[in-house]
Amino acid sequence: MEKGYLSIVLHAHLPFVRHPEYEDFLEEDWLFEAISETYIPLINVFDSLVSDGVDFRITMSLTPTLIAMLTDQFLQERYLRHITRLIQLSESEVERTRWQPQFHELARMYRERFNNCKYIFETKYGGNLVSAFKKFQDMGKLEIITCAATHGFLPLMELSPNAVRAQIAIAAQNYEKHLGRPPRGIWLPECGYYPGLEEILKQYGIKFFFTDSHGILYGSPRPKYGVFAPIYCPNGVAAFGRDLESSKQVWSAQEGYPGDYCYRDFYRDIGFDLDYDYIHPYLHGDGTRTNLGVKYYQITGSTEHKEPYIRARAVGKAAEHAGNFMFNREKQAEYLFSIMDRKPIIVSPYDAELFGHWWFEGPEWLDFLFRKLHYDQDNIRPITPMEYLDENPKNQKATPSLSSWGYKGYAEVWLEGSNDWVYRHLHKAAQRMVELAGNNNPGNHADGLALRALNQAARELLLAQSSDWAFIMKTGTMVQYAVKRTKDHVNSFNALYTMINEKKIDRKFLEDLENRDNIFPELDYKVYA
Amino acid sequence: MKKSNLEKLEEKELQELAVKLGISIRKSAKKQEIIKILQSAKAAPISKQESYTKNKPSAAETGGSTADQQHAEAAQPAQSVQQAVEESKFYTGTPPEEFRLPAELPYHYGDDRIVLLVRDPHWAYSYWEVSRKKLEIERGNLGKAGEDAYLALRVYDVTDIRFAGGNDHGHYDIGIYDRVGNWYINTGMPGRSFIVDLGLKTQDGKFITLARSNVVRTPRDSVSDILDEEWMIPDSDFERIFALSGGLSAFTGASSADIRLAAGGKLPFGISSPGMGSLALMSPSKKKQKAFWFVLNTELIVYGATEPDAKVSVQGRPITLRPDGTFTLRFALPDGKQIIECSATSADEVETRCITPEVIRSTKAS
Repeated sequence: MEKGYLSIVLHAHLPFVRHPEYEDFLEEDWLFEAISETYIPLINVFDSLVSDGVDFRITMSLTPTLIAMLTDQFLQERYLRHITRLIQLSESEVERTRWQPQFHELARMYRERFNNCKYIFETKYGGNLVSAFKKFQDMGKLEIITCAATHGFLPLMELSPNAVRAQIAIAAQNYEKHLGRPPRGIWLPECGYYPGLEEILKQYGIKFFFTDSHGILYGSPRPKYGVFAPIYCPNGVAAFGRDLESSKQVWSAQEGYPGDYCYRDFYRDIGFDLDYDYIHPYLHGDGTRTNLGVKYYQITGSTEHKEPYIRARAVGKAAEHAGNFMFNREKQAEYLFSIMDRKPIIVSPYDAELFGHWWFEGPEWLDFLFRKLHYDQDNIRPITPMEYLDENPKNQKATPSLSSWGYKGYAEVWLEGSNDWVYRHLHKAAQRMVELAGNNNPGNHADGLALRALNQAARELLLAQSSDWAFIMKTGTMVQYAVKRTKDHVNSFNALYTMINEKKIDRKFLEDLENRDNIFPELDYKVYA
Repeated sequence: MKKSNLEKLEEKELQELAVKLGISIRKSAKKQEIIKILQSAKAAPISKQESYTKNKPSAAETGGSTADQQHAEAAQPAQSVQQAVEESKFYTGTPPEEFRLPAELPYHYGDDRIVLLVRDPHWAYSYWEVSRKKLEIERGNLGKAGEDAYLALRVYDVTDIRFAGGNDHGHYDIGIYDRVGNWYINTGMPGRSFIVDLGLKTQDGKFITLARSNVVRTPRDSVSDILDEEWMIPDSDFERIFALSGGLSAFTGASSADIRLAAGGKLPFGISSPGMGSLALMSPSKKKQKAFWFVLNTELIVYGATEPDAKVSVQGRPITLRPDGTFTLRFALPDGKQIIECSATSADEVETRCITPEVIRSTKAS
């Protein structure tokens, strides 16, 4: 009989990036790399666990922006173009490295992986990876949860409850459309919670969410079991807290697994290492060197000098780390069980893109972990939050504390010198959107153009609200793009606002926006009323 | 901040410094004017913040210390690994592109409005705008006192009350410089509620409200004192569960102060050890910061041509020809000797030619 539960939670998210107005677009690579390095490897892990009869449980968010991109035909075609180019590149690499056995073997590995990506994407799932994840949900192995529509950081949106409600309502609608049932759980963007948010979650049938550790620990009344049991908000929505110890084993600078020297190095890429003329055909239009996704070196150590990556050794290390993780969770659960009068749940949330993209061996680590959990022990049982609540329906009532999982635990990542200027505009646009929704009812607008403008205005507002833009402005990668996106969406919104009020809608302008920012075609602006 | 140090900076640098400090300054402000503002504002909300007016005794006195403020302001936060991972999603290795700059956003929206946002248990952020017209009218209403009245924020502690003006637990003022601007406010008080008024303050202390903010509540930064009787468990047990929740070395126990720090996310994940090589690489920006370096590699290109329908092999492997019968192979060339046997056989398999170059690479470096 188990002494505790383990809930692994993966948060899969990318902001909506889709630029049909350009022949190719660097930032679309964010999605393509995540597909090849994270989403497809995870699907392969799930498939192999299922076919080997390993019972596993993973909770995974697929954010509405990610679902929108994964189900978008235009981006699916661009991904195929992207992976086809990579296959060509890997074929050249197999030839080029003929006289260097250690690289040659890796080149063959990449060729096989890229071909596999194409097969999984195109042949096996017909271009729609959401259907792959849905398959595992339907089998009861995966619990897919939703997220706010465009990953808006909700504590800084609280000012406009209608805007928060729209983020949740549209997410729930998007989820049901693509996954065939309403969502039961949500990953709050950046784990950002503020007291009262649960009221809106409940309206859309959401039964649980997650907070960072201090969100639960500083809850009131004081939660008896800390983060090792969920609490019910006064309205009955459950909140699960992140376990810091298991997080630390993966994230920590000192002890974290992904930094192990024999794992693959993320930054060393042939896009920078090889002769320019040779890689030129695989670069974007402007010919600037960029990562191509073929990486031959291991982390090695603190020097610039890197040793060639040895795949078998790295995979062995992933198995060792999975064993270590399991051992520590067993000890943790045993100890907690001895001092609690119920079985503890250990909630370990991670960015999904950690696995494969950043930590190349991450998917193998997950694979080993679930195999070991299944075969090698019976102290802990993998579980989803929903299953936990079914088995343990009685929990303490308390309200979590405002919190996020960002640096320092609150709103500072998204509210500081580099990005605080956005809120004046986001709040004003939200206020205007609510005003538009209140003043306009469909009866007044038999004319389809006005209705379309109202819906598009809502899309522009939603896209401007993505927390990713503020995050990028703060961290300093691709800042210009984040600023551009924020300004473009706010400007588009303001232009539509004026047109709607003046009843003079520029059809061409509207159609351009509809073609580019085509997220949530089912959206109804009245959600802001 | 010493005036002499400020004097050394260019006007543009001073503007940038102001932005860093979160101080809004008109674009047209002259150097001396900026220095004056920076000097007075540097310590704000300490020096510029006017004394706290206590309306009635309350818990509001606790909290808010300079130490907290220094903690929150700690320079250059260590980047967490988690953040590095999230960042890596957006990292393609390419330097930022130059985009055609999008149209600027409106400078203001013609409102008289002030908004308050919570940043963390100790800090709030406020932005505001007030129209010129409104400002002129209110100045006029003040008569002579209106001439040198200045803009100020008044921060009210309104914890657990319905604020109707005057019934706050206490308030203090912060002088500001722009009718459209923003400010980080050090409330220093976790778990309390605040409202901010944007107003005109006369030299003799009269305060006219121009706009009032929403109410915000700062989060608690410690465990709740409220214990649910029904669920009460012995404190010692709670301490242990709590320690584990805090994720500190699980089986050694730790002081509650340490736990508070850890649980607040302030300690555990910072990258602090320069010895960890892999982590030095986790920040993309670090990639660029290497000393002088030199890399040299050699590749060998083997190319040729024959009849388009001939069969060609290189080192025993068949090669695909281009439609015109040419081919190109490219090899990374390591040190040592390569014997490259190439052969072409006619389509009817009657004729075969062999050509075998030998290539030696021997590298010396100094």
